[in-house]
Amino acid sequence: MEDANFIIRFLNWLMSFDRKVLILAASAIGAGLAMIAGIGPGIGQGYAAGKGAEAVGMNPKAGKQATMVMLLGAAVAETSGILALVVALILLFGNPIITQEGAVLVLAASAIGAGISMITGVGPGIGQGYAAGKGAEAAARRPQYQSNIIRAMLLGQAVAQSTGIYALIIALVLMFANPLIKLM
Amino acid sequence: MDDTWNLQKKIVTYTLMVMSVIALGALWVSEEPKPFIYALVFGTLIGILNFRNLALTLEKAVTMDPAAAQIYASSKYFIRFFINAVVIFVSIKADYLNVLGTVIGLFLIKFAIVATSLFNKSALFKRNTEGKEEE
Repeated sequence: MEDANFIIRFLNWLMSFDRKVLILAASAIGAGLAMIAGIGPGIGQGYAAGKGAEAVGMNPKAGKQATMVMLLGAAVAETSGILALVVALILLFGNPIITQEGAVLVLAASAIGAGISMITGVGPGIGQGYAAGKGAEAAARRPQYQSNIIRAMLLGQAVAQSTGIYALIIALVLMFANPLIKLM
Repeated sequence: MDDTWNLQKKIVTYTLMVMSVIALGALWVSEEPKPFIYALVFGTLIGILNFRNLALTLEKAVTMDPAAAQIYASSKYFIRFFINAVVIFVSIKADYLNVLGTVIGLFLIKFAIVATSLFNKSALFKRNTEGKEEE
């Protein structure tokens, strides 16, 4: 009867593999999932550049101010991509899970979970790019308030980054100090 | 052209200053600081070069049509993303480089941007004074 259940058959099939193979396979999936976060800053920076071009077209005299605001905003927007890269490359080339003791399914799922958690980076990447674009637009409209615009934009971007940092913390906990192993 | 050169110089100077402070701190605290300091310098220099590349990209992008600027900026971002991947990969593989140092180095320029703009007391004072004058 149990053999008829697809999930049990799938888990039995998984358990037929060597422990190391299973963890490495899960790490590969996790690394791939983590890299999805790289899309976020790409979209965000593209949006910021488009808005910057629009802003300079709208008020060419304030082009310098708009470009400065956009440069600062776009530089900060890259952060999520680098965080995702760090997690993905640690999973691929410096995998700490492989040497850990505990049930193989929990360890493999933790590797995938670390990758999934880094997908969060899409949000801050797009959001920060959006802020940079709007900052450039605002600087073109009111170039005399450039320093205030930069401050407001960076404050918003710093707050937007917090969810990306939470995701990184969860990913690092799953990889280096997995609390689930101690529960068994 | 190079409208943002002064801003870039300011940010890079702050980044190098923070890097020096962290490197000195590592010398003071750690018994074997060499891998960390090498990695910190490596990461910081790549971060600075990426920032320069971003500045050149955006200075060109603002002269383009908005749709073309979006594609141009996004494609350049993915090139920088690949460069960052190579840098982190090298620091993971090389024994003489500490990964943490490289990652801190790559983030230093972002920290410098936020710190110089948000926690600049003179700018804050100037803004408050301007507000009072307007009233």
